[in-house]
Amino acid sequence: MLSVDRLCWQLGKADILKDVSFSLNVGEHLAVLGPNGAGKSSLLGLLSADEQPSSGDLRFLQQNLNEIPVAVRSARIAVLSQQPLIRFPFKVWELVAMGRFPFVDQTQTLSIVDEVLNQLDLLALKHRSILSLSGGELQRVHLARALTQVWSATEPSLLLLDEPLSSLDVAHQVLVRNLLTRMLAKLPLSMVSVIHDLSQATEDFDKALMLSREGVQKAFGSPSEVLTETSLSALYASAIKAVFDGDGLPKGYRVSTR
Amino acid sequence: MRSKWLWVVSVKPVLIGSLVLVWSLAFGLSLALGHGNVSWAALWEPNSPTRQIIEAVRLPRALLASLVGAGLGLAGASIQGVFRNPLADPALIGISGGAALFAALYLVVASSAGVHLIGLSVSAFLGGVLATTLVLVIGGRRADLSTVLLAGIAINAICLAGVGLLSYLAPDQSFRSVSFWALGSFNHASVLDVGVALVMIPVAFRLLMLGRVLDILTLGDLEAAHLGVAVAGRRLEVIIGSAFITGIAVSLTGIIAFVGLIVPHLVRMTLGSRHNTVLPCSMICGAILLLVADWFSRWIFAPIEIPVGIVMTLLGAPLFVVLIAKWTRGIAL
Repeated sequence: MLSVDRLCWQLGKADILKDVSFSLNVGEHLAVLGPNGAGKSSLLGLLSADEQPSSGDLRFLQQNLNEIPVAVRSARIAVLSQQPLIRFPFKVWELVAMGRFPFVDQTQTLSIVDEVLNQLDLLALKHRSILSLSGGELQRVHLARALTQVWSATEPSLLLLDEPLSSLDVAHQVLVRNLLTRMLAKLPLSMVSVIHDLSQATEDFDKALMLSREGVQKAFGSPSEVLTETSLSALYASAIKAVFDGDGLPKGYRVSTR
Repeated sequence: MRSKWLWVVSVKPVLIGSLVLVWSLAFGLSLALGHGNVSWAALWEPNSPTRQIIEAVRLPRALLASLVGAGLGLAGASIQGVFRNPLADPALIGISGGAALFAALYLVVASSAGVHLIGLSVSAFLGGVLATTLVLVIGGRRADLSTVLLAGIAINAICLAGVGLLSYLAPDQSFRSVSFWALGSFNHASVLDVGVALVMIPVAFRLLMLGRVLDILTLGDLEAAHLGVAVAGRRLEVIIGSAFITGIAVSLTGIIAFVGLIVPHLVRMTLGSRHNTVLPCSMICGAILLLVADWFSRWIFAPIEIPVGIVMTLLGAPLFVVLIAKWTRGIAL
C-alpha cells in the first residue's frame, strides 16, 4: 500500500532525512521513533505530500504520491498534524465535520460525526466552541476530524498521526489506542504514527521505523526486532533497559537518569 | 440525525428571509425619513418635489448605502477567513487605504483626459489588490493577529499620506478632498454611482459560493491541502474578489471603516461561525447597518450632515478596543 525507497529530503543545504526505506501493507500500523529533531515530522510531511522529496521514491498504491491529484488524495489520506491554531469559534461538531469536506456525498456527514464524537468521548462537547476547550480536548477534536475523513473508507486509505496522544490523559490515551486498533481491524486502513512513548510501541504497532538524530534510518522491522536495549540506548544516548514480560517481548522501558 | 441535518439546512432560508425583511424595513425608513417636506400623496405625481427628492436623492442614497454595506460586510467576512484572523477589516488592514490612494492617483493622472467612473473603480481595485498582497507578504497567514494589524497600520499611514500629497498636486476641480477619502459618505450618491456599484453583485455571488472552502482555509494551508482544497488558487480568488468589492465601494463613497469588522463579528456571535452562514448574513446585516448609520449621520446634527464614516468609526473603534483587550487576555471572542 505504501512503499518508500531511499527517500531523502534536504532543506536548504541541510539533510533532514537520508535514505529512508520501508513498506507498509493494508491493516498495518507503523511507529516512527527517534529523538527530537530526527525528522519524524518531516517524514510525515513527505508522506502527506506537504513537501516534495529531494530524491527517492514514494508510492501510495503503486502510484507516485505527488502525482495523485489533490482531490483524490484527500479522500484517501487523512493527516493529524501538530495542532493548527484556529481563531474562529467553530462548534466542536462543525470542526469535526470539516473532515468530510473531500466527499461529494454529504448525506452521512452528521451521523459519522456523531459516531466519531461518541467514540472519542466528545459527545458532551459537541456544541461547545473550540476556543473554550483544553489542550487535550482540542487534540481529540482534531483527531476526530482526521478520523471522520477515513471513517467510511471502502478503498485502501492511509491515516498519518503526529503524536496523537501527546496531550491526552491516561484514560483517553487508552481510549484512542483501542479505537485505532479497532479501526485497523475493521477498515481497509494503514496508519503511520510518530510516537515518543516507547512502552506503547510494542503493543499497538506492527512495524517500527527508527530514525537517528541525523535523520538516518537506523532500523525498520517488527517492533520487537527494532526496539532492543542496545538500539534504544544508542539512539537516545542514555541507559535504557527494556522490561520483558513472560513471552519474551519488551513490555516497557526504564530509563536510567544517571 | 438526518432530521437534524434537514433542520440545519432549512433554518437558513428562514434566517435569510427575516434578515431581508429587516433590511427592507430599514430601506423604507431611509426613504421616508430626512429633512425636506415630503408629502406622500404627491409621490405618484410626475415632477412633484416629493417625487424629485425620492428619485434623485433618497432612493440612490439608500441603494448605494445598501450595496456598499453589503459589499463591505461580505468583503470583511471573506478577508477574515482567508487571513485566518477575526480582527481583519478591509479598512484596518489597508485594503481600503490602497484603494483610496490609487483612486486619488487616477483622479490626478486622468484629470486632463476626463475622469471616468469605471477607470476610477478599476484603479481603486488595483490599489486594493496591491495593499492586500503587501499585508499578506508582511503579515503572513499564521493566524497571528498582531502582525497583520501592524502591517495594516503601516500601509494605511503610507496610503493616507499619499492621498494627502496628491491633494496638493491635484488641479482642484477634479480632485475630491482628503476628507472624502478618509471619512466616507453617501452625500452625493447618484444613479450613476448605484449603476457602478451593481458590478459588485456577480463577484459577491462567487464569494458566497466559497463558504465551505473558507471554513477549511481557517485550519491553515497544510490542513486545507490535506482536505483537498487547492489553497493558492482559492485564496487568490477570495483576495481578488474582496479587493474588487472594497475597491468599488471606496471609489464611490470613500473609506468606511469597521463595517467589515463589526458585522461578521456580530453574526458569528449570534448565528455561528460557518462561512455559509457568516457570508450571506454579513452581507445583509452590512446593508442594514449602513442604512441605519447613514440615517443617523443625517439626523444627529440636522440639517447638517456628517460623513457616515465618522459614525461608523465612533461605533466600531470602541468595539475594536474591547475585542483586542479580550484577545490579549486570552478570552476568545
